[in-house]
This record gives sequence, C-alpha cells and structure tokens, in this order.
Amino acid sequence: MPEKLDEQTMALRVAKEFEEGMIINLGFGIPTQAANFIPEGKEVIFHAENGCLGFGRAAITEEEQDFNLVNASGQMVTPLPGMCFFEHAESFSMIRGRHIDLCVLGGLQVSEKGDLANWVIPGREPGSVGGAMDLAFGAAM
Amino acid sequence: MINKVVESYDEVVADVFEGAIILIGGFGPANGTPSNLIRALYAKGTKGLTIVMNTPGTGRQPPPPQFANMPKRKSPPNYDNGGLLIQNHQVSKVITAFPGTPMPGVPSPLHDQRIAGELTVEMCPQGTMAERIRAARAGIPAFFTPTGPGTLLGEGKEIREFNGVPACLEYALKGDFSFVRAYKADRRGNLVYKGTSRNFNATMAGASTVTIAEVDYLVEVGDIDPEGTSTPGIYVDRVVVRKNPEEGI
Repeated sequence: MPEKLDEQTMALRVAKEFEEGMIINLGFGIPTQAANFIPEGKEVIFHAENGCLGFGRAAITEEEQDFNLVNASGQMVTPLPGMCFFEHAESFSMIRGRHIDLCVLGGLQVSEKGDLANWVIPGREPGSVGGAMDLAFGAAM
Repeated sequence: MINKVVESYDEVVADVFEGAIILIGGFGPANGTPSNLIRALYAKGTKGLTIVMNTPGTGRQPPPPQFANMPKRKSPPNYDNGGLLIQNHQVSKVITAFPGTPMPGVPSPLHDQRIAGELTVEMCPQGTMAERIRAARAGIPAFFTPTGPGTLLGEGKEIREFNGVPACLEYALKGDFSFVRAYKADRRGNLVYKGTSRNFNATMAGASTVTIAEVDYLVEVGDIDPEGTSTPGIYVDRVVVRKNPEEGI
C-alpha cells in the first residue's frame, strides 16, 4: 500500500486541475483547502452550494469574519468584486443543470469505475448526504 | 393599510399547532437562522412537529472539540438552532440533508432519539430538498430529478428514464409554517437578505401556508430597492423585527 499523501499535497494536486475561467465547487473538508493553491495568473470562480459565486480566501482576522459570508464548510470567507448571492434552489439549479465545470468532493471509498461512497457508514445511519449526490451527478459526463 | 408586522415572537408563533410541519431556514451555525422564532416555539412547547431543516444542529450543548485542521468557528450572539426543539422532545420527524455525525462526548438529540425510536429522520439530498420546497411554493405537486437513482436515496421511489438518464419521482414539500430569517423587511413583507444567509430562507418563503420572517431591520415602504428585492412580499405573511439586532435578540 502506497504511503498516504498529506492534506496539503492532496489540495495542491487538486488545484492543478483548475483551468482558466472554470467555475469550481469545493466540497466540505480537504477540498476547501485547494482554494489556497490557485495556479498563478488563472482566473477561476468558486461556487458554494449555500448560495455564493466568486468569494475569496478564508477570513483570518476578527474584522474579516462575517457570519453572513460562509462557504459550504461553514467557514467564513472574504468578499471579492463580482461576487453574487442566490438562494438554495437556484444554487442547485446551477449544480444539477451542469453549469459547474469542476467539483471536488471528499470521499470515504471510490471504485475503479468512479462509484463514490461519501456520506453514510453502515451501522452509523442516517449519515449526512448534504449536496454531494447532486454535485456528483451535476459534474458527471 | 397592509401591515404584516407582528409585535412579539410569542404572538407570531401563537397558532403553531401540534403535529405542524415547520420549514426552518439557515445553513449551519453562522448563517441566517431564525433563532428567536425557534426559541419562541421552544417556549410554547408544541409537540409532534415535523421540522424541515438542512442542518438541524444539536441544540444547546457544550462546544464541540474543534477539528485540528479547521479554523475555529464562532457562532453569532444568542444563536439557537432547530436542534433545540429536538432536545426539548417537540419533534417526531426531521427531514434534512445534513444531520451531522455525532462527535464523541457531544450528545446529539437527533441521533439519540432516532435510536430510541422517538423520532424518524427522512434523509434528502440537499438539492432535492431545495427543489421540493421550491415546487411547493410554485404549486408543482411533484417532479423527476436525476439525483438519487442507483443509490440508497433512490430506493423505493418511482424511476423513469428521460433521454437515457434515470430520474426519480420526488414530491413537493409544503409546510404549515415557514420560519425565515432576513436582514430587512418593509410592512408589505418584501425581504432583503444579507450575504449567504439567503440560502434556504428565500427558498422556504412562500412554501408554507404561513410564512413568518424574523428580520434585523424594518424599513419604510419604498426603501427596499425594487430591483434588489430578494423575496417579494407576496410570499410573506408575518414579519417580526429584532429589537437589538447587534445582540442577536
């Protein structure tokens, strides 16, 4: 069994998939960290399932922290020019309607065919599906 | 004169009845939760409720241990989540996308009461949940969605193929009451939200027989930009205004 990659390396590797002009949805957990490694000179737009397109990096200082500006992990982030807000049904219209170019999801297991297990462990129901199933479908093809 | 403003939280939830279906807006701890409406319903003690909430939460618990690799989270002042109603044994069913995973040492009333057979949990993919609520608002009884077939959450549902893609039948999710949290309202019920707190709040407004908006500020008719109104007042029946928005009450 190969040695496990650390989280930063995984996030860095994911960010190498980012291409100019992409709309990208980053899932809960490690995927969120990929936002720290946008390839230099490329303009990408991040989508958060809770209704935001075009937000910036994580909020660090007390002054930057805003309860009304969070990403899908519930982490407070910073605003950027060109950012916009929308409600949940609209947000998932973007997802299910395949308007998102790239989605990065955390996972428990994945098969060689791409079947993904990421929201429930047998015996530990009910699990937490969140937006993963809609995102996985919306990013297919 | 049309005036949807109701003076107190207690008064605005007075007619919530036993067994009612309540749609509650918000997304996780920091994001547009109608905490005062939840507290008023907690104080009223109405039982047998079905609550529809993306992230019901665990009620009032000691702060969970932080994940080492995640930034510290803080909650808005005087924040309460829908888990408070579960903790108070007022809920018999929860329809949700994200009940969370209980952490060692932190009780989760939802998980505990589910195991004890006190309540049932209907798991719903987040996008399907949003669309079921939108459908209720739009008067659409049911729809087909490609999310679900081939998974645990597609089991037992009617499946049809459209252009070679399997889709499952989902029904509109109409509530008796919607509890939504907004930033500004006028007396006609026009609403504006702040940032990502729009989330399920704007989806749920109008999706129940009675929609109640808890807002930070009441403004004069004409002060909300007609081009920038997020929820038209037609979807809102009652408005209750926070007396001290900065303190969260």
